[in-house]
Amino acid sequence: MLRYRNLTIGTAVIALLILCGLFAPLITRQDPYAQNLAATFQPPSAAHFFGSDQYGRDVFTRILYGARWALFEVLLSVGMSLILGVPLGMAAGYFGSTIDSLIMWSTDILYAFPGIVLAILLVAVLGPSLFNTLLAISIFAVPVYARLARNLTLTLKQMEFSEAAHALGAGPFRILFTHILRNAFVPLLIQATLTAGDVILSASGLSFLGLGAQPPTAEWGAMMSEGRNFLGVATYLSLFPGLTITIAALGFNLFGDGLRDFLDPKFHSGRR
Amino acid sequence: MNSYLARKLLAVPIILLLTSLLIFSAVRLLPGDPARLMAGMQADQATVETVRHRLGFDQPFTIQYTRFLTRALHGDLGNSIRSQQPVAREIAQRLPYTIALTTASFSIAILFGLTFGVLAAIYRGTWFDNALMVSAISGASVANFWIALMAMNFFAVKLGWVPLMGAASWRSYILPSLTLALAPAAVIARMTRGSMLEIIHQDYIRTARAKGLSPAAVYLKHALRNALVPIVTSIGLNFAALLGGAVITETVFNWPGVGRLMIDAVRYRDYATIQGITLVTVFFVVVINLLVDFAVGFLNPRIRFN
Repeated sequence: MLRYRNLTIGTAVIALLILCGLFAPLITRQDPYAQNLAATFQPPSAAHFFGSDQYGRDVFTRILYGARWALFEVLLSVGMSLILGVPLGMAAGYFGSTIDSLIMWSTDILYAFPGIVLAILLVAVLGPSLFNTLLAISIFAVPVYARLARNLTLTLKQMEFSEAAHALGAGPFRILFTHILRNAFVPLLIQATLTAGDVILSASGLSFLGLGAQPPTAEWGAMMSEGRNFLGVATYLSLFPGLTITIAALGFNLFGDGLRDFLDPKFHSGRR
Repeated sequence: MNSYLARKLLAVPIILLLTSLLIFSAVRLLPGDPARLMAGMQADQATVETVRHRLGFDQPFTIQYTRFLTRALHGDLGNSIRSQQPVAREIAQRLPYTIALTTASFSIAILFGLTFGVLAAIYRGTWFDNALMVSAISGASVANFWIALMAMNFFAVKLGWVPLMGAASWRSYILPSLTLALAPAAVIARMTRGSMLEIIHQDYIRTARAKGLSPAAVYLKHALRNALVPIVTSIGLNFAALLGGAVITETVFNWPGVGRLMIDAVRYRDYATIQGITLVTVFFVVVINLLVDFAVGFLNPRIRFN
């Protein structure tokens, strides 16, 4: 029963995240960037559910709008890794020999890297910004997708439908992108949701370090980076954004885990 | 056997060579004038030209890279733009703190991860297993900078049980190493449980039980030893993630390690230092992965002799 519970809770958290992002202006009347210097450092109350920050901005409102940034981070970063990793892995799996060795060798090297450290290097060179951070995070997630796509392609190209397509005169690109990709979709989707939690953690972590989204952006990591200066006097400035990051990451991890157990009977034993 | 180890060993210099090339070109091929970056943003044109000539940026790329590599092999990583000190010396001063922190964290993570993973597998399906797995998936989802800040606020600011920042005594290690260990411990516990569950239903485990071995002997000597290969592999991969987490943890706790040096370097756009730290980090990750490969070869003779 635990596996369906994971899927249910994960779906609920992600749905909530999407709803908050979409309907933020309807849920709250306040502006995430409007300063009110007469009401700074208000502790959590009915007027400010999660308190107000050093400029009197409502933390609850900023967290709601932050859901947009979180979804943006996930979509952009996972999207970029998929676009880069999947074709590489499929080419490696389909064509084999030198192409396979070359692609797998380079992704293996990338895989062993301390991702965050190299993301910091890239961001330092390109300049701190959320986009550069997401670019760096995506690059270091490419090996995960390339390996998975390669292994799937190796299995799927042996299947009758691939051979039938080949016999009917379909070229490698047609076989790869219509027949193999369609059948590889579910495992890739599971991997994407499992990576999404990590994306939220890395992107908000780098924003917290001042390398990603910059204040005053209502991004959760950036909010914590500002709030940490007032840790002793206004703990809620760090408490709520960080709790939201954790719940969002947990939601994606539970969803990915549950989805894998639900769709892939091989994993019913509980193997990670 | 020798060919397996030899192949792994041979890959190390190649990987290091390629990564050094990658890191070296990252700083030079991307937009921006490296000489200006190295000289600092406020430097005047004459200083920039001097730096360009001194660092050899007016030379062709291959010559620059060869020179950089030769120097790096001799332990010269250039001078920090901020402090004008040799980067190698600055890293060497900070490195012991990072090694101490990551070693402490990693030991905690392996100890707790293995213990809880094995227990969860033994008591599969019970409330104990469920509670452990819920904690594990939560542990892997916690933002480590958040838990670090909250722990610091509660145990150091409010209760005053541990020092707030720095690395002055052994008590300073408690919060940073525990918060840093959380995520890898969770991942190792899940991996251990999964790997153990696959082994526990094998025939030879039933045989071991049937011949009257104690549960401890069955689970630890027969099951865990065979379950260890994927676990050790995942531990190796986790080390790279742990180093990344250390950068964040060190910044939160004001830890005098390499990670904080790197963040400071980014703030001052100190490229020589960033480049040096990245090289050293990659070196450590590659060495740890080599050790993991050796351990896997030792644990599973089939890999060695295949």
